[in-house]
Amino acid sequence: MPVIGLPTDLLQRLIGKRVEREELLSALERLGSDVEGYAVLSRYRCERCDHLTEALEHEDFNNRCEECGSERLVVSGWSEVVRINLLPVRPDLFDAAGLARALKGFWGIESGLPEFHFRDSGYRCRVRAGMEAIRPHIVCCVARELRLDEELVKLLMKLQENLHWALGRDRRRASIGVYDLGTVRPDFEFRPVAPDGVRFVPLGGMPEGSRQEATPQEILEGHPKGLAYRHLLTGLDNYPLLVDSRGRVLSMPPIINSNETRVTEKTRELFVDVTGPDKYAITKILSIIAAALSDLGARVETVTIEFPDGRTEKTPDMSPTVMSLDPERTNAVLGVKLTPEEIAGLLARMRESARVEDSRVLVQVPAFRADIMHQQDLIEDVAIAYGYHRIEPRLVPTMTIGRPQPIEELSELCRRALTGLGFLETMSLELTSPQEHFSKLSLPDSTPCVVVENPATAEQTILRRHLFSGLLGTFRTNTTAPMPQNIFEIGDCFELDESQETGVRTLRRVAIGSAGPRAGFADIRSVVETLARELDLVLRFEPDERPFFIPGRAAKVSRQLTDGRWQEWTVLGEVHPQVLEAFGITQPVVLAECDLTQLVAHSS
Amino acid sequence: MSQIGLPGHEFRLFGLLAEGKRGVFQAAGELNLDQSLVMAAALSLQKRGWVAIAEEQEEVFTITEAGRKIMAEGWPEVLALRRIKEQGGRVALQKLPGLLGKDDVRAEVKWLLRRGWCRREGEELVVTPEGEEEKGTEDIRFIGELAGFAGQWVSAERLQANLVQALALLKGRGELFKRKQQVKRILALTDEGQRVWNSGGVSELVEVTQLTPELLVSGRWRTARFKSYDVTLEAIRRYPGKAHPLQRIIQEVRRAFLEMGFEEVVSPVVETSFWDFDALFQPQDHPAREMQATFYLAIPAEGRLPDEELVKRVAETHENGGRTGSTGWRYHWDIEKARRLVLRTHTTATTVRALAQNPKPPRKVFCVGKTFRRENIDQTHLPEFYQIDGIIIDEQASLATLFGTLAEFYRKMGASDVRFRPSYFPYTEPSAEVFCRLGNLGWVEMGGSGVFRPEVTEPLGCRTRVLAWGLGLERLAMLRFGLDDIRKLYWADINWLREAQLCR
Repeated sequence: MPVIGLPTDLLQRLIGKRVEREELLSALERLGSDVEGYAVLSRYRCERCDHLTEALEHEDFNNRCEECGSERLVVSGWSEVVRINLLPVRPDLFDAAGLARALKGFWGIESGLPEFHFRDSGYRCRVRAGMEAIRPHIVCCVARELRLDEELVKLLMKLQENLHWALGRDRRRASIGVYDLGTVRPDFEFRPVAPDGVRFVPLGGMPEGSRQEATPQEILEGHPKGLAYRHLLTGLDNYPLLVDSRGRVLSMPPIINSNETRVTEKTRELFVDVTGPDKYAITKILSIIAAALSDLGARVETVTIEFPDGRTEKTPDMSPTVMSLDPERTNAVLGVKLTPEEIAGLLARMRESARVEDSRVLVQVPAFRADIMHQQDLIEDVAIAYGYHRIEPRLVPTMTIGRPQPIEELSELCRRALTGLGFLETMSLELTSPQEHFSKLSLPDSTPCVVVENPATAEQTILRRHLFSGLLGTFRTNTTAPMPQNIFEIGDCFELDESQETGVRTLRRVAIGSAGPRAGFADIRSVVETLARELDLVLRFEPDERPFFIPGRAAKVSRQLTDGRWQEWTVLGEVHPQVLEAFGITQPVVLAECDLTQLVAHSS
Repeated sequence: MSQIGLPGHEFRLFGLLAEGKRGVFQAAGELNLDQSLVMAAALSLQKRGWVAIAEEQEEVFTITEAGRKIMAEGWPEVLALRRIKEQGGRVALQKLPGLLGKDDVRAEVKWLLRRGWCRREGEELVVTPEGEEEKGTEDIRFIGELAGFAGQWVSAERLQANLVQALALLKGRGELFKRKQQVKRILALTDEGQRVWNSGGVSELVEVTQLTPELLVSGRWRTARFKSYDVTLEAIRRYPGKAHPLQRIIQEVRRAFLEMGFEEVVSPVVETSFWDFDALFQPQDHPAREMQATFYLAIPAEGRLPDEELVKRVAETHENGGRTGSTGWRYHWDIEKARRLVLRTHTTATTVRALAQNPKPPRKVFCVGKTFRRENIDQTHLPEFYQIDGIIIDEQASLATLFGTLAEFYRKMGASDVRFRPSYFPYTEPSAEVFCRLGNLGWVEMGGSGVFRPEVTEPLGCRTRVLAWGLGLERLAMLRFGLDDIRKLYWADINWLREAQLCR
């Protein structure tokens, strides 16, 4: 999960008081944030593209601009930061302003619903016909009287990036553009553009040596962000474009902004847009950004969106969502006894406004909260404000009877028998490869088995069908340990079976192996017979021809069923030298594998 | 008079001396014991006042280098006599050097005449009847015997040879042996000793190293003395057969939950996305469901979904909350994605199946099972690992009883303290992370827990609150066994398995 470093100076300025480290860490933890600790963050300015790159002190930093890759970086400043693992569910806490807002509530400095009164900018953004099929939704706002410095510029960029990740699902649901309002002339237009229908310089410029003014198509094929996000435009004949009244390009969502509208620390007025296929996500994102800008001291103004069908709407809409919370349910879920008034007070500390009406709590949830789907979510807010540490742990008083799974009990019984014989238990991975699992055992590579579509490594591409390769692998890694080695593994094997709900049958097996200069068929047979005796099984041995055993020194073993028929239960034998050579084992090895699943299925 | 038990050596020496006094050497020979053991027994009997040890001077002999040489090369006159006998018992003196292959034959002639083996007849040597029989060789026998004792000092009584004759024969022969005076110990019973022996009041005490069935059956153990061991010596190191350390913890976990009244459940490792994600209200575009996080299957690719009604309820809940009172995730739910098979990413798939199968309270359910995440293998990551999942379906289910249950469980597992912190999981609300204090390791994060969201329980037909948790296992094992590399659990070094203590 991404980590964000929030400047402690800024945080204290927003909270309005000095905060001790311990106090801050403890409050963040009680709010559910995973805090990494304090650190110093250095900022480097790129001489080529002017982009700011941040790096933690003492962290490996490759001295390259994160935007254009240039190595021409100059140190431009630093901040002490508190580093927090982002909680994807609370994007409103991704920035210093949002976090300060929450902390002020938690500490009782301010409480209840934060009020936002935004004036109308008078600007409009027209959505042109054809956008429905390309990128149907857009919301915008304006922020004036902003005093930006390097730190804040960087923070806004970070907020944008993290909102893309959390709510935007890496720009699939939504993407954000932030521009210097001074570089454009309202009103705005959101319209389709042909792949070669316009030319503009993308943010950070095109790669050195290319023409800087590029078409959308060229950007998708040449600019780093174009390459990273062009899959989001796959299959479209036209691309989305945001332009001003003179036709100057602001951005090509969700790919890139234009370079000339970029925000610098000299910027005093911002224009912000959020576009995407997910109306809910873009609305939440704009609310979070607007609230943050407003808390940072900017004067936020609304923009009117005009749709081709004549519909209009003013964004951002900061009106709260109203929900009703059942106090009884709250107490039941938390296992506490709170009055409705106490619950309302706790919610106020979480920056919700709450009042009691007819024994229910009516709650106004601020527009920037993206995680409240159900009153259950409000109950969690109550719990956090109340404090998890204050909830008294206790057991459910209801009596229930413990009941083990028969297969686990049987496995444990076998484990006891084999450890009693002095065998050591080993465990191996259930993922393996056809090479290790089949080829080395002289079995065909094409043996049917469960195959992973997206393996992480070539060594783990299929699920095992047997436990032999695990035991042989253990012998291989222990060639220098004292002999003889007597080991066993109890584990699940997997076979394709269309009759099963998931197309796969799981078989619990126990495999037994001995390695050493005198390991022979008689030893392994005696172990198998011992196990069978403890399990009260009657066995029949027949010669077996499995290719990984020495011919004439392997047996398949059947057990007698209650109706007198026989069922195959075990194979055992002396491992063929060719197999030992394939595994790099220089000691004779004997193996057996018995099926436990059939024993449970049979007895139940 | 009570019977006195004497150790074997003492008893036997006692008996021997009752027949008459003996020198130590003689006693040793008769008892077939080393002299030092005889002396030790004698000293012990002397302490009791039963044996007197008298000292006498005796003469002792040992062989010299010259003696060894003559025994090795042969005595010159013996060799000469045999050559002369081969010549018919008569040889001219002047032919002797040629016969014996040496110029100076004076010594041979001297000793042949002195032993009386030859006589001179003019210029010839003639073998006498004594010479024919090679009589008078006590000196050769004496030196030979000394040679047999290989450099030891030997008293005359230990030699067969007639000392007087031998010494007389050896006069003028040079230093073939050495002699000196030495103290000889004579052992004899005292009057008291004789009386005790005659009274029959002593018997042999059996000294025992290993108690044998024979000693037990014969009853001889009653008079046996058990030789003491040096109990401080180290013994051979051995190892019992052992369950795998991780397995031992799994069994401990199972026992803990079974003791707490939980029912154990299992479910397939190969699971549909429906049970792994959708039934748990995890949206279909959630990062955890992406290809880089979860193993999807190529063979088989799809599984069967449960009954249509259930699938429909889950779909609606995702899209708009259905009848749960939730807003849902506000997107289009795709049934094809739900059919996709995965290697289960958590055993919550197991408990949620158990919940769907029987949502009627009260129920407490747990499982310990293998789960998979698409991770590269390194010191702290494996693509597969165990999880401990559990649910409680109960009218009394609450955050308080969740905390109480998990605290009780971790106390059973050896934690000295347990605490909870708000957290976020898509299928629980409220959610809590569990931290334990283990030994002196400080707080360690153990896993996630919470109250199942109504969006999870209600579509499955469950109207009761359900507590749920998913906890790590390898972490606990690594802490217990002091491992810094998780790979050690699955690529086991047999020496480590042998050493990993059962008490951990």
